[in-house]
Amino acid sequence: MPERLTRVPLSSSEIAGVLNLRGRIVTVVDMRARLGLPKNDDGKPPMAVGVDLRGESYGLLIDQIGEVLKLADDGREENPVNLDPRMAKLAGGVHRLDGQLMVVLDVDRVLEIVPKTSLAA
Amino acid sequence: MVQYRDQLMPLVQMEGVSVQTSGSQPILVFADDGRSMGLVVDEIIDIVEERLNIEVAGSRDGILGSAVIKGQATEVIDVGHFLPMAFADWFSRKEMRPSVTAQSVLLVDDSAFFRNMLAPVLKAAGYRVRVAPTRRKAWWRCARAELRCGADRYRNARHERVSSSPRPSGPMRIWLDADHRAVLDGCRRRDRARPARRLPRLRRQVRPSRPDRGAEGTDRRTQPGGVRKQGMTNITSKNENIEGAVSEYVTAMIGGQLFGLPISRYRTCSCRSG
Repeated sequence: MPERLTRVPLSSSEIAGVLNLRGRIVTVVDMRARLGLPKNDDGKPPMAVGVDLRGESYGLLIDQIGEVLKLADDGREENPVNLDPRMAKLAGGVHRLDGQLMVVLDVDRVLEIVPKTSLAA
Repeated sequence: MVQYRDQLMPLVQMEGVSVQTSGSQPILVFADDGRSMGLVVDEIIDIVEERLNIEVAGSRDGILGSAVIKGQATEVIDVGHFLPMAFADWFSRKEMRPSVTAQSVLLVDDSAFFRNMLAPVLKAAGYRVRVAPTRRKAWWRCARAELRCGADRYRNARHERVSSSPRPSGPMRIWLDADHRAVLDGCRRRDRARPARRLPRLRRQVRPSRPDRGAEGTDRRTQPGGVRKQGMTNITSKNENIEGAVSEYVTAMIGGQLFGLPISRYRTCSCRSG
């Protein structure tokens, strides 16, 4: 767990805690827990991606950050039927890249678990 | 007035800001030379470090113009407008110190915005500043100030730097505007051996220290096609000219699966956490 991350007692397991991100206190969602995946055990500290939604800032804990891609909208395809159902709930389509499949994350649905009264308030 | 660190600090408020009578009020503190001034604001939102590119000039006193900061159109405050409201002699105090080598500068620029912005900076740096909006007016100012400012030396105001003949108090430098970078360029025509003098940076703002030094903001986002050395395999994607609507995604690896976060819908930035 990153040192600056402050756990929030009695929150759901998907909420990793709150973090000071560039001067703002943001609620951090553990994406692994959110997707139903086991905790990362290779010892590397997770990265947080800052996202703004409805005027509130959140952080999403991920394993590794990649590059920024520009992809054509008509390249986005529907969720494949064999997509893991836990991922399918949060996926907004997929893009086929060379040798890999990129799942588009629907951040609205990811953050639906955060109660309306923000933890970070 | 308010007490700030054992000193009295005058408060200045911008129009439209109301000072609360109870609770806490956010204030921006500017300090220089042992004196502080507080600028009252409604809310402190963020501290950013960005290249400032003021695109639209301001129409009100106290506003330099508008710029895009962190993806949002923001009005840039002219702090220099408010500082003298707290202490009338904020900019000129240094001038009052007797200085044998105080030099005179004639600042010529057709833009009032830059005249008003640069004149206080030069004054604060210890120069005696005179301003003129056009070449012709500058010439007349020279004449009135009894400087021998030869018309033959005073060529195209856009690109040249002209020096007048030496005077007892030191030669007067004329800095002419050529898209406001030439003002900083200091080689005298007669004296090329002398190194260029750079304008001192306006160092008036006091900023609290950044809380998260390890953060990388949106301004460090790699360009599409570039590779971030994070140990991920190079993702080759069609980043050449794509026909039709495109969306930008920040890619992230979670649990061995590659995910993409659409940028246009949300403001995303990647930061190290821990």
